[in-house]
Parts: sequence; C-alpha cells; structure tokens
Amino acid sequence: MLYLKEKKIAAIFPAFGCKYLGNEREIFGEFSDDWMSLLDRAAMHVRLDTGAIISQRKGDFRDELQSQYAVYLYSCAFSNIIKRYSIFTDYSAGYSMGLYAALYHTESIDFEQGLDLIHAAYQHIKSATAKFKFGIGVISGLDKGDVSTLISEFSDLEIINVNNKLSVLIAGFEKNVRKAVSLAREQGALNAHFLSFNSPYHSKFMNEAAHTFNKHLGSTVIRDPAHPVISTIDQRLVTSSADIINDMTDNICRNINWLDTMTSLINSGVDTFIECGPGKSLYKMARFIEGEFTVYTASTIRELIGSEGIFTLVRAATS
Amino acid sequence: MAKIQVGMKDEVRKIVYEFFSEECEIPMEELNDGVNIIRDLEGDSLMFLELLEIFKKKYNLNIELKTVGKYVVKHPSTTIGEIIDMTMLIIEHENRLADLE
Repeated sequence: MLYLKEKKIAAIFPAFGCKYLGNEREIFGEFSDDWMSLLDRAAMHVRLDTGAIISQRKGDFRDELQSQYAVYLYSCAFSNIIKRYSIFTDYSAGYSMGLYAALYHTESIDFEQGLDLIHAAYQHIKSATAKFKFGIGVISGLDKGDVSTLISEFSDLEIINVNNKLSVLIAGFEKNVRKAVSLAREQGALNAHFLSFNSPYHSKFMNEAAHTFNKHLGSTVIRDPAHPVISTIDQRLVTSSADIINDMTDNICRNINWLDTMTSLINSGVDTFIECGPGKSLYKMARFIEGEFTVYTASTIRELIGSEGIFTLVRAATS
Repeated sequence: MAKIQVGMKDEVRKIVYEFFSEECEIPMEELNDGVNIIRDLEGDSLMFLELLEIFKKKYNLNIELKTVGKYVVKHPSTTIGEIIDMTMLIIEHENRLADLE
C-alpha cells in the first residue's frame, strides 16, 4: 500500500570523526545486506583496511583516509536502505566530506566514484598541507561572535564551520589552534579541545588543494542530482553537474556553515531529517538549532521505516 | 536569585536521570549519582549544554553559559551527582555563580 508524502524530508550525511553507536551493522543488517556488499565492493576498489573497518565499531580510526572510507560506506548503506523502503528525500546535504555520500544518495556519482573522489581529495589535501603542522579545534559554549573576537589576534586562524548556535570549529596552525582552545576555556567555553585531524579542512590553507582537486574533477563524470543538494558553503541549491563540481571544489577550501544549512532547509519546509550514517553527531548538533523538526538516526531507523506518511513511489537506485 | 523550593532537588534529579537515561539509552535503574558521564556513559559536553538549556527554560534562569563555563573550570562536574549539585547552585545563584569560590 502506498501513502502520499506529507512531509518534506532531507537526507543529511555526517563526516568522518563522528562517534559511532557501535551496533550500526546489526541495525542495518535487519533491513538489508548493503553494508556487507558495499564493504566487498570497496575492498575490491581501493586499499581498504577491512580489518580496521570491521573491528573499529566505535569509529576510532587512526588513519584519516580509512576513517573517511568507513563513514562513506556506512552512509551509502543507510542511503540504500531508505531507498529500498521507498522513503523519498526532497533534499540532501553533506556535513564536510559527507558531501560525497550526499552525492551518492542523489545519484550524481556511483559508489566507486565516491571512493575515488575521497581518495583524490585526501591526496591533494595532504600534498598541499605537508609543509606545516595544522590543526582543528572545536569550541562549544561560546557564540560565534565571542570566538571571532578570541581568534582575531591570530592571523592564520579562521572559523571553518558553525555547527549550531553554541559550537564552532576553528582551523589554522596547530600551535595557534591550541592557544585559542586554551583561551576559549579561560573565557568560559564549556568545551574546547583540539581535534585529532591533521589538515585544516575548509580553510584558506586549502586553496592549492582545491585548485588541483578541481582539475581532477574535470576528468570525472558527474551526473545531475536526482534532487537538490544544498550547499553548506552558501546554502544555494545545487541542481546540476556543473554546480556539483563547483561545490565539491569549494567544499575543500571555503568555510562551511552547518547551522545556516539546517536553518535553510527548515525554512524550506523540511520537518524530517534522516541522518544517513553511523552515530548521531548531526542529531546532537541539531539540538541547538531552532525549529520544529525530527532527526532520525541509525538508532531510530526502525521508527523511521515503521512510520506512515513519508513513503512515495521513488524507485530504489543503489548503484 | 531564585528561591530553592521544597522538592526542587528531587525534581532536578528526576530530570537529570531521565535525560541521561534517554540520551545514553541506559535504563534508569542502572544510573546512580556516582556514574561518570564521560567515562561510563560516553557522554559529551553538548549533553551538559542541553541540560542547561532545559533548566534555563524550566526555571527561567538568568545565567550565561560563559559564567557556568568559568565555574566548571574551577569545579569540574563529572558524575551525575555532581551535575545535580551544580544545577542546584546554578538555580540558586544564577549569574552570581561567578562570585562563588
């Protein structure tokens, strides 16, 4: 039996570094064998540390690239499941490198292409930032204005993402990120710490990486998305393959704003978000975003699939 | 400063226990005041921020998060019991929490 769609739904995709629930594979396994089949495909396509991916149930990967492959794998498996159950999404958005899974979900790229893009972006970023030590810090409990003032004395530091009204990410040289994190604590940040990422993603230090990655994208076939992707950079709707290439390039070197992205979706009528990936990091961020909406995660996928009123006739495309 | 009403601590305790039980997907009966939020429940600072928001709304508190942050640096709260105690201090003193030693 089919139901008319009553809600606007957005699929949102987390980035690597998120904490996993630990039982995602069992949860996904209740619905399909997508996770296992995608793992096999990934292992045949890239140098995947399958042992680490299988054993690191909490997502505590030492290797950034493997961590990126893993979150992409879980996200694509989740995307397949909701399509298999004919849950249509009106929009997609990817938090940082979650963009690749968002593009898989919108059928702009296939699974293997996503792995290739993650690998290519990683290589370009590593190459462009090899000469210096960089870092990223998270500051929670101060607002964006406070953090802007705090980092103004460091010319290299910038706010690379606003997670929500109470949490921002900063990036720059490692020593200055550490100093800023320490200052933030003194100024009353309830949480401020240095993240274990080595690259200043979404910062000006990535300009060269973005340039070379863009050249790489020139030889990649990208299809128009099946539904709009919302850019986390300026919240425009990305609806063509050319737009996607621009957004993927900008995603490397320009600041993103998750708060504005979620707010824009909410203002567009979205009242249901599906966090397609491991853990529930985006669900947690959304607690401090204004609006009436629900965020489903891996831990609530059963409720999502069991709920009526959000099913449509959209074909499952699990390329 | 808010006046502490009879039964308020029990109310705060109930909210804190229910919050962590739901957020961490742990049965209420497995929680006690000695449970460490980070180590035992794999919780995070955003949970504490959310709890603060809940209490700010519930009791209409005039408290800046920065004030709480500065207090927490000197008086870390790591267990459920400590969080309940700190919440009571926040309710009682609001922004004057900064004046406490």
